[in-house]
Order: sequence, then structure tokens, then C-alpha cells
Amino acid sequence: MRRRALLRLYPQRWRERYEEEIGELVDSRPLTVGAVVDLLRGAFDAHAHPELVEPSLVGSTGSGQVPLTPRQPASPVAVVVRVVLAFLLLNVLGLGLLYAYRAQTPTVPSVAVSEAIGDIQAGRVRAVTIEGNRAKLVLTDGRTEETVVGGDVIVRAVAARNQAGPAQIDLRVNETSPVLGISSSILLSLLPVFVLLALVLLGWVAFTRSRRPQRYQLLARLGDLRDRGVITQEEFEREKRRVLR
Amino acid sequence: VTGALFFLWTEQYYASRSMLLLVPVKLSAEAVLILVSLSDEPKHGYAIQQDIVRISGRRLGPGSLYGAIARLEAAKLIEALSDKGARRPYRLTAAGSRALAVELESMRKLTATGMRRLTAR
Repeated sequence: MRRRALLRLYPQRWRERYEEEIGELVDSRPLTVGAVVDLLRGAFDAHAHPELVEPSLVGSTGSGQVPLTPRQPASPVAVVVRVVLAFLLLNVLGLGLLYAYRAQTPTVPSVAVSEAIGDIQAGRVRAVTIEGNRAKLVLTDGRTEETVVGGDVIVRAVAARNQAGPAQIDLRVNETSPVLGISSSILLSLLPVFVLLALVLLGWVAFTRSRRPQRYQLLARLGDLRDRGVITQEEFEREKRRVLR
Repeated sequence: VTGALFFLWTEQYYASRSMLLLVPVKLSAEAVLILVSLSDEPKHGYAIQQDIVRISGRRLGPGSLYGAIARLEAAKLIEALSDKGARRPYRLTAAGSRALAVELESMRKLTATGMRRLTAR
């Protein structure tokens, strides 16, 4: 029956328990879009709640020897600690994003080359640092500005000024490897993507961890079954290895 | 560190959700419909679906119907009368009858209050 193919999306244990019955309902009516959506949602729900068809996952149902132990509600202190930690976490993430954004947009005002040369010739510049194709100018009033240089225009302007006037401009040329500059800027621009990827990964880990059965309750139940002679010691050991793996 | 924090946070969330599941203080709309449908006699899934169409005009799809049935069964408010088969009948347990009575009583109060306030306007 082809329309029953959708039921294969349900988890195995769920199918063992309900497949025939659900199949009966699916067969009873034409398979509309609404019915497909309903089944997809049902399958997702079934995967999210394996404990519904596996009562041992939430506690003993048979002998009553393993008491159902609902989790203790978190103490107020723990709640406060969690809220504070979450707040800090959000701040760290926010600052990370802000830093990545800052790295993309220069904090130093950028000016045209002609303006920079004008400043140099007028004696308003105290120091010049050239890195790659960027020149950073420190003005005598303490402000800084940046310009993109083509060739050695700035170097020549500074040299001319230093020969002409008494007030010397401190000139520094830092050789930077262009590969390093490019790769670091790429890394920085990808930072938000890394942060998001990390969050998705953490969410996934937390989700799968939360679905892992409460294994010690399962073990206690197995031990109970062994003690009552329902399963042998050998079977118990095998199950125990499987549970603890 | 951030990973550990995030894990704690979500773990707490899932724990509280599964606790709600074990102690069904609030029945879903589907659950109430199923309980009402089973309140006169045991029925199998298809009969429950038909009965719900009759009493409420809603047709629950197979996915939602069995999602609700599985929850009710896990909470022991209903139980299957046989182990196998496509037409396995379900019946209300004693706990199911009590839960339904409580729910219907609260709905009755809600209805009465709502009607009174509407007519007083």
C-alpha cells in the first residue's frame, strides 16, 4: 500500500505499537495535503517523545519496585544563577557580533589622498604609518585619519615636507603580508557565521542528550526483571552493556 | 563553558516538559474529544474518529488522533482492550473517567461564566 509509506517516518517502537491502527485510518480516506501534513507532524512528535511508547523510559510501570522519581524543581538559587549566566552568555555573543561588525567598518575616518597630502603640506601631521596600501595619519591635534594610497605618493609628500620644514613628521612603513591581511579579514567576517554554527551545534547536542533515556531507571528495571526471574543474568548483562554503551 | 550553560538551560526545559507529560493536569482539546468519545463504550481508532466528527464536527487526522491516544495511554487515562490488530478497541480507565469529569466540570463553569457575561453586556 503506497500511501502507508508515510508511516515509515515514525520511529520503530511507535510503528510496532500503532502502525496497523494508523494505517487503517490512512486507508479509510483519500490522502489529502492536510492528511500528509498531519502525518508528518505526528511522525515528528513521535520522534520527539519516544517515552510515550516506551514506558520504561519514564519509570517503572510493572512491578512498582522502581518508584517514579520526578525531577526536583530547581531551587531559586539555581534559577537565579541560570538567569545570570544566560544574561552573560547573551552579552558575550552580542559583543562578539559587535566586534565582527566593527572589524568590517573602519573606526578611523577615511579621507581622500589629496586631503591627506594637503594636511601633510600644511604641517598638521605629526606621524604617518603606512601598512600595505593604507596610510594612517596622526594629526598634531591628536585626531587620526586614514587614506588609501596608490604608489608612494604619501612617502614622497612626507619626505618633501621633512626637507622643507623644521617640524619633522615621523614616518613608519610596516611591511605586511597581503595574504595574512586578507585571510584575517575573511576570518573576522565569518565570525557571526561561526557563532551561529556553534549555537546550532549546541542546540543539536542538547536535543539529542535530552532524548537519551534515563538509563539508570532502565537499569533498575532490568535488575528488577532479573531478580524476579523474568530474564537471565546473561540477558541482564547484555542489556546492561547495551544501555551503558 | 557556553556549551555547558546552554545544555543546562535546555535540559531544564525538557525536564519540565516531561514532568508535565507525566502529570497531565491539563488535557488537550483532542484528548477531551477522545475521552468524551470513549465515555459511553469502548471504540477503536476509526470509530473514535467518526464519533468525534459526529459530536464536534472536527475530523482529527491520523497523526493528531494517535498522538493524543498515545499520550492518554501513557498517562493511563485510556487502555487498549487487546494486544494486536488494526481495530484495537480502547476504553476509559477509572483515572480517565475522573480526569474527564474534572475537565467537563471546569468547562461547564467556564461556559456558564462566559454566557452570563455575554448576556449582561
